[in-house]
Amino acid sequence: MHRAAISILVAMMTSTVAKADLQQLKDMSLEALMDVQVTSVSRRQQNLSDAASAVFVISQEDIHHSGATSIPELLRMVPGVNVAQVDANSWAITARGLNGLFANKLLVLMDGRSIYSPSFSGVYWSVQDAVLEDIERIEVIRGPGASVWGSNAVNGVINIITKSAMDTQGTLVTGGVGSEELGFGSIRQGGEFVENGYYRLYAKYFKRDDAVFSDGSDAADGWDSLRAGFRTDWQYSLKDSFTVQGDIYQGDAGQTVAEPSLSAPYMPMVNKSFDFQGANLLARWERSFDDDSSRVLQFYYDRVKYTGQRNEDRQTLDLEYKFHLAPRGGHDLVMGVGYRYTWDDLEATDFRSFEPVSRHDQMYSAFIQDEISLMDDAVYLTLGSKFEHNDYTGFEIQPTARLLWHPKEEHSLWVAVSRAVRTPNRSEHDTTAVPAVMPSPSGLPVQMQIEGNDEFDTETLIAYEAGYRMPFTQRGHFDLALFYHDYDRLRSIELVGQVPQPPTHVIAVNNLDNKRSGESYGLELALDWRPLDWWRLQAAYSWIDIKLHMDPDSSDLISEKEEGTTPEQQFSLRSGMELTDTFDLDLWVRYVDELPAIGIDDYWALDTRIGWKFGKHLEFSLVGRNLLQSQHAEFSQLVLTAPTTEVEREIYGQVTWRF
Amino acid sequence: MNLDQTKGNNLIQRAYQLAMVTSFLIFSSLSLNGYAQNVTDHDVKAVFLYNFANFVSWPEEAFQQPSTSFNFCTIGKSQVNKSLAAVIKDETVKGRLLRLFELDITADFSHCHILFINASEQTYSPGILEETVGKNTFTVGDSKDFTSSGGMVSLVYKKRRIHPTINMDVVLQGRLKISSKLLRLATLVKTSQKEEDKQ
Repeated sequence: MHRAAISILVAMMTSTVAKADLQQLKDMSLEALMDVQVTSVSRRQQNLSDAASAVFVISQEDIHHSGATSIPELLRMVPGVNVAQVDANSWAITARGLNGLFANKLLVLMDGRSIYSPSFSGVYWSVQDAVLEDIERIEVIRGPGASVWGSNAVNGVINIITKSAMDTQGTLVTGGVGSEELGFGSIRQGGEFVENGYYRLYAKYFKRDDAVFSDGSDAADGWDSLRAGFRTDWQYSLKDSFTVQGDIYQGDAGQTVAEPSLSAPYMPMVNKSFDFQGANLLARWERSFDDDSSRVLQFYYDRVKYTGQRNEDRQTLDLEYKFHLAPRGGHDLVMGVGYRYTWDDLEATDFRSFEPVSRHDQMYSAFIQDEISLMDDAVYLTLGSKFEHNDYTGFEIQPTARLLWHPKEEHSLWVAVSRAVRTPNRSEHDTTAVPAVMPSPSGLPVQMQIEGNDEFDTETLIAYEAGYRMPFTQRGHFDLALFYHDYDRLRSIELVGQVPQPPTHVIAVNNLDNKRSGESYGLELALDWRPLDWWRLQAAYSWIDIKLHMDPDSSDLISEKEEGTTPEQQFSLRSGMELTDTFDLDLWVRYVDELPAIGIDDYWALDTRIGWKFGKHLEFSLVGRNLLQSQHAEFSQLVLTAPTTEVEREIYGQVTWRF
Repeated sequence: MNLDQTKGNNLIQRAYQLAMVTSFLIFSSLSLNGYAQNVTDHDVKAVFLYNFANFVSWPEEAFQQPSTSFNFCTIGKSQVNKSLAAVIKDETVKGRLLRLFELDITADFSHCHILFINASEQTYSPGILEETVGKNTFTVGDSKDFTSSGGMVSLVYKKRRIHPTINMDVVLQGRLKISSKLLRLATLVKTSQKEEDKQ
């Protein structure tokens, strides 16, 4: 009986359904034709106004007018996303608060490949790059996107999508120089290798200057990077398409760190450096069927290696199969299964070691999501969940329920409740770190030692969200999102005991644990408006309040202060004016509120871009960034292991040549 | 094996059977629609396009000779192209054979009597529609913005049905005449100010 049931199920899922007789439709009168109920819709390109989540899309047009030279800089225009430059080659980026150098609640994907590192649960932004002109769009979802994307998409998901090779044909050459951008250039060549099969090859190089300390002296954190890669997209037949892409890169960066020492001055500043290199390869096969269902099979390999002041060598293999059933009977079902295998080598440095040095971890996942249309397509209910099994905490479930209603044409109201988890990383389980030494008033200096805990548990979030989208006059639209996040089992640093090491120092041994919880709530607004045909305004505003609490039995005195590492308000306004057919003027004003816990003041920033087009092939642009102050600080660490580095005013010029 | 274990097994067995039956029912409801067949939006759009050939009249000079075919052209790849090919196969309109051309955005549209622009290519519509204005091409699209970007007819999915919206301002710029029957049933609009779709 079981076997019969299973085979019927399988048959249901793979069969094509008999189509309505075309002749019957042709024989109908116009009135009858307009009255026919369409029971199956070719897969809807999901419009922004159809999403039951807080979505913001950075388009290629936004990228072009921003004057940004890196992906982190682009993220500053998104409401609810906190971007703080820590030094010339690092950024602290998160969504909806709880930021840090290794902000661990944001999942970032590059063309479907996860760039979230399981070593530290964060993203090394310095190695993530692309030829910005070849990015199609960056989708930013604030709030848990966990049901489809996976664990660690707690506060948000960033999906960087590059253009199909079909859209990057011909040659593109860019080059520029400036006060911080010491020199940069890229070249891209696209062509067709077979009918309906397109490719592109690219190479990119940049060298960036040091940032400065508060006294204006150089922070010795300049860096350079060289990368190259390719992408091919082949529409093999009406049903099958293939994509293969890969990159290879390397770079060097400096850092000034405060290195713990057992003798005064205990945390002297030292110039260090690290270099990074890596490669990745991704292949995807998509097959669509007559009945509008589709299947996707994707595989990728990723390797990243750091040596020097950071030691890490990680390789990842990921396999994923997703299928989308033809929407029918009011249900639109997507399902998938995945497997990830990652192995690493984390050699000890002077201040951090891992036990074991090398570890192989596997993760199995599956997800299902059904979008159900109710009341004649006026309301959509989405129910979904992701199921994962990982090698740290076993089985995790992340369900979500979302409701979308169109009260009027072009208006949408949505509400959602979801659960998301942040799984432990290698560091939390396996590390021994000695990040700081502090003088003690009473006697010997105290060396802070942090021990990983292999019972460290997943952090959890239950999020309640709502939003509204509507047109703004005839020439714009407005987007509002509200949220309430309830966090539990957040990471804490618990003092286990003091171990005197006479005559030199005392070791304060701390264990990582999950004895912190908290709530955050806030709102995010985005407005896009063209007051005139040639003038576009885009504004973003966010407000957030975070409260963290330690469990009664916690001895952690530091982590509660993390409330103050998130700015309460943020504002961004971009103005793009096409002054003539060939001359653009773009302005970008930003405000970021203070970070009281780490002594960072609030600041206003202004970027300006002037663009000139010469004929069809050449464009020249002049960009000034952070023009309002000669330098300003954006971030500092709670446990001060590096002196605060500030961002300088800068200017650069770029030439872009297409043919 | 004691009694408790047997009961347990029965419970498990029953739960399993219940799960099987429930999923069977869920999947059944996904593939049946009462007794109606599966009507797809692209089939209905294709039949509309075929109907327009009968409900719109072209001036004499749109056809070089009495034997010249009536030409449907599509831009962009989608299921509508496939359905349209099936709909017009072996059919004639006013004695003319029907032909389908699948073109890209750089093609010459002067021989097209009905031009359908798929929603996927909507960003290129304004440019294409500037070329065809005042000529003898009846322009149709399935993007919501089609009529406001200079197109003549939008075929939009609304409340489970496909509904045509006609922009009379654009139609009146040329010499094509729409039958009063179609005008009565469709929604008529005027060209609104240029909108930017942020997708």
